Amino acid sequence: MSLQINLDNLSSVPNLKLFRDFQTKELLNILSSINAPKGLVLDPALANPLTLIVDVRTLKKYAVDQLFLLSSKPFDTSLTHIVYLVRPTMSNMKKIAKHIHHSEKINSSVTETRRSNREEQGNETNQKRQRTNYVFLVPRITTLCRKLLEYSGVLGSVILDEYHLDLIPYDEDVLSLAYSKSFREFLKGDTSSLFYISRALHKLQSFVGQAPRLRYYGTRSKSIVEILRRLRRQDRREESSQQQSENSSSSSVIKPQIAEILLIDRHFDLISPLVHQLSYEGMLDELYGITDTVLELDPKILNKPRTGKKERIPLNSNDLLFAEIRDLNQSQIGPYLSRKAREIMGGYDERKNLKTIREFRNFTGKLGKLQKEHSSLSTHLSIAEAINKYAMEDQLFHRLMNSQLTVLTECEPCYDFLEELIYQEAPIETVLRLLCLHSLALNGIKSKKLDFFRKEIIQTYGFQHIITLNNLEKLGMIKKSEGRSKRSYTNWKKQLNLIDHEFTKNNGIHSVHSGYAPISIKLIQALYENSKKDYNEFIQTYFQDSYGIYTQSSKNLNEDLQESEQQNRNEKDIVLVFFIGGVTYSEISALRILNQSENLNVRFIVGTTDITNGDKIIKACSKKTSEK
Amino acid sequence: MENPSVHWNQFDRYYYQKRLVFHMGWNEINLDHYLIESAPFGGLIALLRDDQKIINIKNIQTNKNCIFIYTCSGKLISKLDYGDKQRVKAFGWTLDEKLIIVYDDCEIVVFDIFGEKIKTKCITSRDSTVHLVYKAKVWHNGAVILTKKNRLFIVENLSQPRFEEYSVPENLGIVSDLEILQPKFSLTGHTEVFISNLAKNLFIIDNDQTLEIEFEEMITNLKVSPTGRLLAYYTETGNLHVISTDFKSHFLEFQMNSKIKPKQIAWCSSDTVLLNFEKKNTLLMVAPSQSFLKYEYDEPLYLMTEEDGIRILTNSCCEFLSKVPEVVVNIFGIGSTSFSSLLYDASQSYEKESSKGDEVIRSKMDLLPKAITDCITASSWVFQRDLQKKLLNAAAIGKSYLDNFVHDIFADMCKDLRVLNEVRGWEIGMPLTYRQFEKIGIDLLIERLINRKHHYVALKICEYLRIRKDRVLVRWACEKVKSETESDEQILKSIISKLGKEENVSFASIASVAYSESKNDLAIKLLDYEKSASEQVPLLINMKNPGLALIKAIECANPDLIYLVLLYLLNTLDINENSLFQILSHKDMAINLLIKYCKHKNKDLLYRLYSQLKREPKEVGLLKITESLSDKINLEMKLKIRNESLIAFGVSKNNFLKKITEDNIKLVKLQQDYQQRLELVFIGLSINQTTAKLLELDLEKEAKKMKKTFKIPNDRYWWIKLRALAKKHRWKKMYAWAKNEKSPIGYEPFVEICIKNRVGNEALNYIPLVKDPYNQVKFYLRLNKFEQAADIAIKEKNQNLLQHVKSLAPKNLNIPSHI
Repeated sequence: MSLQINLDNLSSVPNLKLFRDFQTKELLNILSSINAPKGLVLDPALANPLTLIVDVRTLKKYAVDQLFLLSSKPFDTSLTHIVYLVRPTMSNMKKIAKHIHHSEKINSSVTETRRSNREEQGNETNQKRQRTNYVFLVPRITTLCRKLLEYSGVLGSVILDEYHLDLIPYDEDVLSLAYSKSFREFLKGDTSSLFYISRALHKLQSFVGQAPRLRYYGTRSKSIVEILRRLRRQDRREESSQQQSENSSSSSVIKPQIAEILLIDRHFDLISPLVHQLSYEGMLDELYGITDTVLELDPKILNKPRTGKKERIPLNSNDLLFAEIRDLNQSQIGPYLSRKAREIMGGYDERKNLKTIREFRNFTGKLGKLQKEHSSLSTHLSIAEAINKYAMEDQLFHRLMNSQLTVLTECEPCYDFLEELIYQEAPIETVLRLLCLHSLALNGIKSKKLDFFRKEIIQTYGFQHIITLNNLEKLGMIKKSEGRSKRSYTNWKKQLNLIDHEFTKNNGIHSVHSGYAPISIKLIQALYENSKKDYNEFIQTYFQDSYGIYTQSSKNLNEDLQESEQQNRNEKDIVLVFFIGGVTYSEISALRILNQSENLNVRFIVGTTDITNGDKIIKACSKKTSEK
Repeated sequence: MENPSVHWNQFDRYYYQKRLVFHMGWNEINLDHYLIESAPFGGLIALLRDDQKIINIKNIQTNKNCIFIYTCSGKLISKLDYGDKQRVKAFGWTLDEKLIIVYDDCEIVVFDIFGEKIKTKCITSRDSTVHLVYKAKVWHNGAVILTKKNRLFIVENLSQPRFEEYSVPENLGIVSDLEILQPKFSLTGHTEVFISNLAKNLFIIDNDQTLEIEFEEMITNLKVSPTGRLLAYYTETGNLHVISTDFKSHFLEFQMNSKIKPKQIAWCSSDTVLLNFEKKNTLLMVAPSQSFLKYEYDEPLYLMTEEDGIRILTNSCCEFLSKVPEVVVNIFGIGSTSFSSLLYDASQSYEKESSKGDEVIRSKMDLLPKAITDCITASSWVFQRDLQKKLLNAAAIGKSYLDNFVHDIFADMCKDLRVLNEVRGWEIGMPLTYRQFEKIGIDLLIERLINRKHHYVALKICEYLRIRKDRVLVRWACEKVKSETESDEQILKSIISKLGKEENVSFASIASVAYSESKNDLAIKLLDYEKSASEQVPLLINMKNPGLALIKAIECANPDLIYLVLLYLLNTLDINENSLFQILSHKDMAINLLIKYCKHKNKDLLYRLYSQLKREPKEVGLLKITESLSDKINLEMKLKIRNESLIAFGVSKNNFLKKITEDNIKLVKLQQDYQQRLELVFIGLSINQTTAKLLELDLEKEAKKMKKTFKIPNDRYWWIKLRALAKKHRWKKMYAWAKNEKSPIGYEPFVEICIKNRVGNEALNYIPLVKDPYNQVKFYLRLNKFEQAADIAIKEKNQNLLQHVKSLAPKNLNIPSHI
């Protein structure tokens, strides 16, 4: 099953396919440069993202005979060429070092036994056992990893190289770095990922053209703009040196296909991910967890026999039906699907009225599409049923949704419910999400109350959450209440119309949280919609000097731009909204809904470090216990 | 102007021309007294005094141990001092004009032309015996050494020299000549060595085998052709043979019947062999057809085989002998009727303002394009500028008759010729032909000019041809930096004035020269102009200036570069912690990365760092807590560290954290106690879990103690107990509890937990206790107790509710429809 997104769609950025294929080709070149049957050892964190770049059948074609997931346990194989494809983390390096020490030990013992029965076995087989280890770090070799391999004494016995896979098309309008650690790193003060984000954006622009404008909100966004400018300067230097040697396509030659990159720092809006997502795709992520566009479900939910293995369902726009329903509010899914079911049945029923051979031929032509839709429909019907059952019957869920909305709409606390959640020992993430939501929306929690909750949480869930709570405090997600602040949620709520209870009627972006619209997306809407309201002062108070626009086009680029603008006057400009620290499915859905609005003369596509949700954010703030 | 063809000699089926290139600018040089090697492609000439010749030179003392380096025009470039410890056994040139010297002790050194050692390689043997050179030969990218103990060593790549040893046949004997077939020409891709000996053998040796051929007479000279396909050899009885280098075909046998051994054999193109008979001062040219041509000289000669001809050097001049190409013959040949010749003549008549040319050109328009390209090609062959001009002019006139002629080849030729004429001048003295120029390429030509310090010419050529000039500028600046007469200020100023505005100049490489010249300040100032931090940082580290390196690394926000500096700081012993902290102060990004690193690698440093940074005691406390949560340390240690954190929290007056931690320590102690008494695992459980476990074990008293110690609210305690009882299915006990005490959490949780555990009957016990009648109805409905539900609705006088119940109930049940 190929998970690669179909990027031939006209509405996507034209060169995105070129960009993706380039990254695919780089991997295949790496594999074909090692001209022998090989074992591929994948970092589990990369296994899913890679399926979006290349499928297993192609890997087989390139002589990948065995696939392993990297773990600290060494594996046994008769293959002599082992290719590690891993993220540059310290723990991965330790694992690889362990594997290599292990295989060397085995090898030396083999050599010794061989030596003792030298008569029977020749030298040749002896040599064949020697393993060649290739370590490809994705997307770059880092100083630390190199040093770590050196300290472990294996640097000499591996061939160290890099595979520059960074932005992966999760869909025709979503690009992700599949790098889930950036939020946690920011928390620890480690801003390295800003550099990697910049490099990825820089590379992307060499395929889709230099975006004429960079717009940034938040200090991290500002840093990225600065790094991008620096990279661009360096690049110009290399470019001019290449100019004579080959007058081929350099990035400045490509007409910009993205008119603007908008950089948004997740920390600007920490409220929205805490609110439970209620768009279809968002809900699936909240309930079952979507990893790199793949949903893994218990077969029971799909009315299929249990096999012990989970059913893998790719969620992307290749599935046309899913593309239609992913952004809808979960309550709309049922009715929509039954309408769709009638349509499809109607399609099948056509066969009853077929008379001529020609009609039959036309019908069989349609049949394939119908069957595809049919199978997708039955999948989503089963899932929708499961979701609906959960939404209707789970008392806690129902009350949770209500209290969220109370906090967000009326800015009134629901402490009793919060308390009860703790007493019922609801998942810690659920509890902390609601606690943080209180603190953020109400501009803090009274000191005594806060201490009470903190104590209750630590006594209930364990002492280690002293660290979690402290991290949340550091991020400002939990704080003691202070006086009124201009930068408070109530201000946002008023300025940006965050609440709309009539969301089903109005088809607006409020539907993604059943009444609440994400601040992040509302801000974007305000920026691009031609409204009379002036947000300048408001934005100024919030971002102070960390927002602005940087125009990075040179003179002739502008001309190019005008030219291309004239060519496709009907086409909307594309804005890449890049979320630093993660974006939720609801936010993506909201942007898609905005794209259908007539008041906007731009079209958004999404870039992100990773796809996040409230649980993931809380987990990023918790002390890792599994790391060794 | 005379027709160029008057200088041609017809030979074999072709015309040859010997062109005078330079009158030598040197004085009193007698080639006879020197061993000579010249770089191919019109390159430099190296002269080493031949110490087997007894001569009388006035300044013999001062020029001892010197190799003289001249241009082809006889202009002295330098006197290269090769040292007085070793003797030179062989020397030669790389393509970019670096001098390769093989010394008698098997050391190979590559010098630049001003005497600076660039690479040195010596054969190292385990028993530290010195190998002495018997014969050696150098080619442009390697060398072959035969030692006196008959060991044969090959070096193939001088940029990364490595010796390879070939095995030598035992019967090698006394060697008469040694020749090399370069790896790019050999079938195996390895260097092949041809050795002839006095015992009339020829050995062909490569990396894994030796071929031995016996001849009837002794071979005195061996020479491989420029394309590597043919081998010419000369025998003691005066026979010249040409065979293929794979020894399969024999092309020529030419009998001189002279026992005089030629000083040199050389090739002109790949088909004609030249013999230099020094003693007779004659140069004999022999063609494949056995026809020959003799040139007489009255002075000694040196022959240098080129790709497309031969360079002849004498005391007084430098000449170039080559075949006249067909296009040129077609134009200038006597009685030539080719259209290119007509075009050329027509252009001449244009000059005389005659209209005859026009008719001629119009007569055969279809042949015109080829005639034009022929004129252009011919212009590339001739050396005289006025003749070049005339040919190009002919092409230009022809071109004007055509609308669609591709202009490029004409323009390119004009440019190339201008460059060639410049380097062919006496000053530079590099007699490159156009063919040779095509072969070595502009890059190598520029490199040669830079090596000869002709920076200005190189720069002008780059600008003229519009190719990148940063290399020239950087190399110029590197020379400038070495200047001893100017102050650092002056040097910097003149470098910046010339390079400051260039986009793509590597200031790091200039700075690194300054550093190696011990001009540190200048180096740092130069580095400031470097735009790429990834070049700045490593150099600054090299220069032992980690502080500045760190600043630059942070500027570009590249974490890798920051780590590079940090790891240097941590691993360099002469940097103590205080200066580490000093360097780090106020550099948050670096500090955070160091903290991250320390958490994995160096916890002690972390605490010292925290105290140095004056981090809040609260932070230190939390760091301790984090450390204590690691599963790598034992319980005793954990408690110890947690106790330490208490101090930190105390200092920071953080009562909440202190209390929580104290509670935890208390908890762990209790758990230790339980663990011992009950032989069950308690450590690691939360207060809730501990209490629950005690309740599950029926240790109500202990659980109550937990409640009291940790001030567990009553509500929460009820929830804990409820779950514990349900888990152990103690339904009776639960009911008794509910009856005896009034639940502070209501009875809904009781019902829920029973439903969840599928004990519906138990649940029924609690529904009447539920306060909210609406909830009661809901529970009854969930348990399918429709009658009870209806009763409640009736009791509540809620018609709607009753209706709802009825609608859900099975039809056969008798549910009243009205209250």
